[in-house]
Amino acid sequence: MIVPVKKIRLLTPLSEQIALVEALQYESKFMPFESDGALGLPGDINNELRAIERAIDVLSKHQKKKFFAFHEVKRSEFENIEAEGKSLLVKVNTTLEHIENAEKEITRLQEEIKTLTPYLSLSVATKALNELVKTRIVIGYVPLALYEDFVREVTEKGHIFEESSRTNEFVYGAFGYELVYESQAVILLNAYRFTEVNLPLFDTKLSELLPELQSNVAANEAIVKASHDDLKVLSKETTKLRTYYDYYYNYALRQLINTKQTERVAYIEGWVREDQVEALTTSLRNKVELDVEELDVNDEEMVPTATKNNKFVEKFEGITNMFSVPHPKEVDPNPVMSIWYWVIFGIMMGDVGYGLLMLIVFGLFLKLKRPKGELKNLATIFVLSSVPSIIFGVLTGGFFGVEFDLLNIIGKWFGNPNLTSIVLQPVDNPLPMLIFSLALGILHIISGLILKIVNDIRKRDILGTLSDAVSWILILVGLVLMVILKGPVVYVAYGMIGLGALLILFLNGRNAKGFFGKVLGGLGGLYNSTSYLGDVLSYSRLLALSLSTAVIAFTMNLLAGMVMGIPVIGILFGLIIYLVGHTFNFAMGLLSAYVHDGRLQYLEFFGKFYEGGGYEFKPFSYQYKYLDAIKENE
Amino acid sequence: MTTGLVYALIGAALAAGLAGGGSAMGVAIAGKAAAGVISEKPNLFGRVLILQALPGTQGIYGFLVAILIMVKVGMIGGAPLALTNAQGLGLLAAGLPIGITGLISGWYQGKIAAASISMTAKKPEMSARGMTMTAMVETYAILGLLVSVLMYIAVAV
Repeated sequence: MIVPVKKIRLLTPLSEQIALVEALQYESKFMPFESDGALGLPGDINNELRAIERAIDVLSKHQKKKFFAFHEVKRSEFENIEAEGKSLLVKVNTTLEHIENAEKEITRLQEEIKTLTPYLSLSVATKALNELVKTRIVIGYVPLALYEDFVREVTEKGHIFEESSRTNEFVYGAFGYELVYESQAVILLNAYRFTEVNLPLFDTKLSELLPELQSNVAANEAIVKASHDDLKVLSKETTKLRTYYDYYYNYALRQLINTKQTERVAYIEGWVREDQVEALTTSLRNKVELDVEELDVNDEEMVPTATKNNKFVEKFEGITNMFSVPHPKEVDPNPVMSIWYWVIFGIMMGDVGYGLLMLIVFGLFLKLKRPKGELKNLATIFVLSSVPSIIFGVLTGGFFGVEFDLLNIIGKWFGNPNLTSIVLQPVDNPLPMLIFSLALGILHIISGLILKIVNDIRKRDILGTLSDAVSWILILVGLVLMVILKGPVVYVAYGMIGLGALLILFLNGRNAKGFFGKVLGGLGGLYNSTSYLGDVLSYSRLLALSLSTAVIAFTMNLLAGMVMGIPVIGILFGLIIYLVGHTFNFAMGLLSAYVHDGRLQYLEFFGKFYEGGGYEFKPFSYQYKYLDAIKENE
Repeated sequence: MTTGLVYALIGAALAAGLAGGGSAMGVAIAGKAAAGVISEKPNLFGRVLILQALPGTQGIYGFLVAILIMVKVGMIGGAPLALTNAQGLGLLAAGLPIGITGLISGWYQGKIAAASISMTAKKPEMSARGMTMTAMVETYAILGLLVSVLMYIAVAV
């Protein structure tokens, strides 16, 4: 059912503005207008949120992941988390900084060790080299191929070269010359492609340096390890950080609310469900001083669509919204659609075993994992649809692809072996099942046409309803009766079809201009019958899908049975085939049922009456990213 | 083994082979798009995977018809029957509708699945509509399967 929505303005003294927004979020019955111009969150709030997110990421890496993790905190704890959360965040960030600095230091030291290694046997301190007055010592390396000639010339010219180490390519060492001969020495070095290396300055001799550097590395590694241990300790508090994130995020959401101010009062405008106006204002008045004004909605303004349905129908609203949110002025398709979706899903699965599996798997998933939002609704739909799946499984006699006759088993207990609960056999005798599928399709389409009549009557478009809905109902019912009825009564069916066709012929072109336009419109309306034919035939997928589920289950059993014949390993392989095969078939069956059931609703059913194009009534409320639930105070 | 039996086996081979080939192409086309999307947005893996799996159904339908034919002629779980040529050709004909529609619709469904995957990358909340659009193509494979099964049942052996 679509509930009317009122547009109201809430006024409060400036001093109570924040309290009002908080109360609105708590009540979650009010949908404020969007701010003009898409305002994002201010930069500092965004940064803080990101910092918390990062800290949570880091901490949860130090925590064992639980698949069935469930985070629940008390309302009082949630409201008072700010100080604790902030200090926790600082602690995590400081620790992370320690790790980062220590790791940087380790890389620097290791880089240094790498540069120094070739020269470690030189017994000089690099700092002392800078203090030489008359001579200069250059540290570096020469290509090995040129080394012999280099050494010869060095000795000839009276310089020194002390080798410290060599590799396959280079000889490393220190080259010394007197400053008087600098130009000559430079030419020599260039000629032999000597590469100078600038070593960092140290007080200690290079030969004694290595242990010092290594102990520095070890010290920093210890810091990293200790910090990781700190994080592990902190990770026990991850839930607090999660709470802080969600607290802060909701704080941020409140900042986005479009409050306007005059000199003395602040006011917020938005939508409230008509049936909740009273409740909302009463509970708001308990918290803040409040004035409520009801505003007029002008015709061009689009009102959000608020639906109010029972718990069963509610779960299926997401399916409709995926197609389009209902227009606030049309009839709510959800109550009728939900039942059809439910039944058709069951027919498509159509196996007692798979139905039970749906019930158990998704029931446990809901119970243990407690998913939120879309996933929760989907899992609930699967659990609900397990019921018709089991029922149609009984009617078609399938239990994981094995023939299963419930009534026959019960009958045998009571000494009556002639009973059977198998009404339809999609594999052995598909024609009755095909007829059943098409008949169900006709009913589905007719129910859509009836909703069209309701919509047209609301719009006072009586001619439209006669030409587009009543006519087709007459034709469809007439066709069915024509098949069923025998004898002279069949003329009633002919009459209905004829009347329907006449309605279309005379009324379909009612808006066209001129005689020819009207005639063409009428004939064009009759041409629609091809699309109706297509729509009805489309329901043959009910047969095809239940057939494919049944045959693949049967095939898996057959293959498993054949493998089972092999001694010893046969049983193992057979079991594997059985498990994998049925899991696969179950998953594909669910996917096909979900997709094709949706298609039947969207095209064949919604196509007859549904307009959509509304937008959802989404009240301003708490939103949680990490927490699963808040325990309200007693 | 009679020539009729061979005809029937060719029917099974065409049903499984052509429809499976179509699905393989379709899933591959969709998979390429999916891999691209996941490299940018790994959290969409679930939604994208469902879309990629959609063109896979034709292969299953073909496989299903092939198994049905093979069981009927006793190649699985029984002794091979001595089919007449007419019976064998009848079963061959029964394999063709799903084989041909499976090949073509699987291939083309892959293309629309790839498009829907790209759409999902930009607007994840629209993935269900993408699924519906992708499922449109499959309608014809379902009709093909239906004709195949009806023909298969009508052929008496």
